[in-house]
Amino acid sequence: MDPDIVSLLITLRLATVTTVVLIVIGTPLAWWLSQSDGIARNIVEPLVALPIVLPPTVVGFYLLIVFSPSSLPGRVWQDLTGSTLAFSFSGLVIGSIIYSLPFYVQPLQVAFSNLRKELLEAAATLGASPMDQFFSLVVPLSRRGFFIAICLSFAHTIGEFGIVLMIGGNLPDETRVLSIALFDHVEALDYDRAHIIASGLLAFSFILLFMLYSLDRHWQKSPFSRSAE
Amino acid sequence: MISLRIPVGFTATFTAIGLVFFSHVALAQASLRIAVAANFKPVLDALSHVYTEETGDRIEISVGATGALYAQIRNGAPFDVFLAADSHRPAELESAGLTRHRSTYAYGQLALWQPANRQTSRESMAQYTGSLSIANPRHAPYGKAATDLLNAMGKSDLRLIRGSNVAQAYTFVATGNAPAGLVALSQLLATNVSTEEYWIVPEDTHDPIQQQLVIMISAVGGAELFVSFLKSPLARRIIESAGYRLPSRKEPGSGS
Repeated sequence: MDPDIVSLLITLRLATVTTVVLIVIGTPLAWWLSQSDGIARNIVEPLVALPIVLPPTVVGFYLLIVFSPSSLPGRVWQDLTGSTLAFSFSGLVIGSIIYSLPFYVQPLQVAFSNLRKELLEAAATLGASPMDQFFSLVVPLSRRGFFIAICLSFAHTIGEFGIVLMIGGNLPDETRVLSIALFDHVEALDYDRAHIIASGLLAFSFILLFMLYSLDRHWQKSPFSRSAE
Repeated sequence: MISLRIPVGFTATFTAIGLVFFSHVALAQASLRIAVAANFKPVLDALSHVYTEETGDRIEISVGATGALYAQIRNGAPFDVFLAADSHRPAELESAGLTRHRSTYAYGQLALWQPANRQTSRESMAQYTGSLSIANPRHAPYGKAATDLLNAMGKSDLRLIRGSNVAQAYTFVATGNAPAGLVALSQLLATNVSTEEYWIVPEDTHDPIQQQLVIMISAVGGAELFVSFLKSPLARRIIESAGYRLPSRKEPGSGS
């Protein structure tokens, strides 16, 4: 198989796995951030936003140190799995979760904050358990937030470069994602192959954002979109 | 309103012209502008110190990755001398007609670094299994030399971790993420790594890691003086003690 196709598959797999993990851990986190106040919230909220402002190299550098078998987490992982987190697909997933976390959590947090409390209270009086309330009320009413969060974190992971460069080790069958393959082609002055990947990523990103905005406009016009307000 | 705007515009224009003029004057005070590959920067700092003491000429140093500096030069960056970490980019500049001299100023030396091993040797390389950190052979000279060595020794079963350059290959080992790596001797000397932990790879196992320099076509006259200074006994001592081998005077590519 062409190495660039392998890179494409690794990239799609990374973005999918990362997004699924973010749905599982990011959703409760966004809910907690939207519902609570106090010191813990005030500390966690900027922590979640950090990857937006930090250079990816900062995250990559610290991950490299944490992943090292000479640090406690790195050693525990090595004892459990027999391999290191650096230069592995699992390591990239961890890096991507951190890197894309704010892009998942923030849109969802906004959506949750916009829900009207009376609706949940009404549901509670009707005997709905918190879980019931969340899945039959909160999720459908926040579907626009979910949609934006999922699209953004998927796309943002596709576009990840700096962290992967620092912790990936450029293994052709495991960690060479598209952005790294592109970097390699440019470094080797192979601009023809670089153009194929670069234009592909450009087109993909544009189409995704175009769809995101179009659907969003559509939803804002729909009478059900803001029924919570 | 209009009568107010015109003087403002004029003032801005004159200020801009003045700034451009002034910055040219300021630049001209540095006798020599040298672009240097990151791996050679510490050595150039030491060399430039001596050079300035000897000649009174001040050197302005721009540091970067060879590829990035190459791109800047192709786009008109005004350097007099470019000390690259490879021979490929200098040759490209020469064939583009942008240079008036090209020569090899140092040979990089490859070393196997295995921090956990107190007797790292050729045997260590022959018996090594597992993950090995190297620079990317596709575009980094140390990476190319590393794969030359591995091919020569018939080591095809290693899991090769590729750093985008030899600095990253070193980092992967230094942070403990890779148990060993093929790195630059200059890095090991600069960080005072114990000699027991590494094995200096003989140069006949790989293509030479040539670091070439070019004098740009529009360079000031002092450029040639600096390049001949690099061949002086004192400069040679500084370069050698940093972990590079020097071109012997008979070797091809050693210049004028």
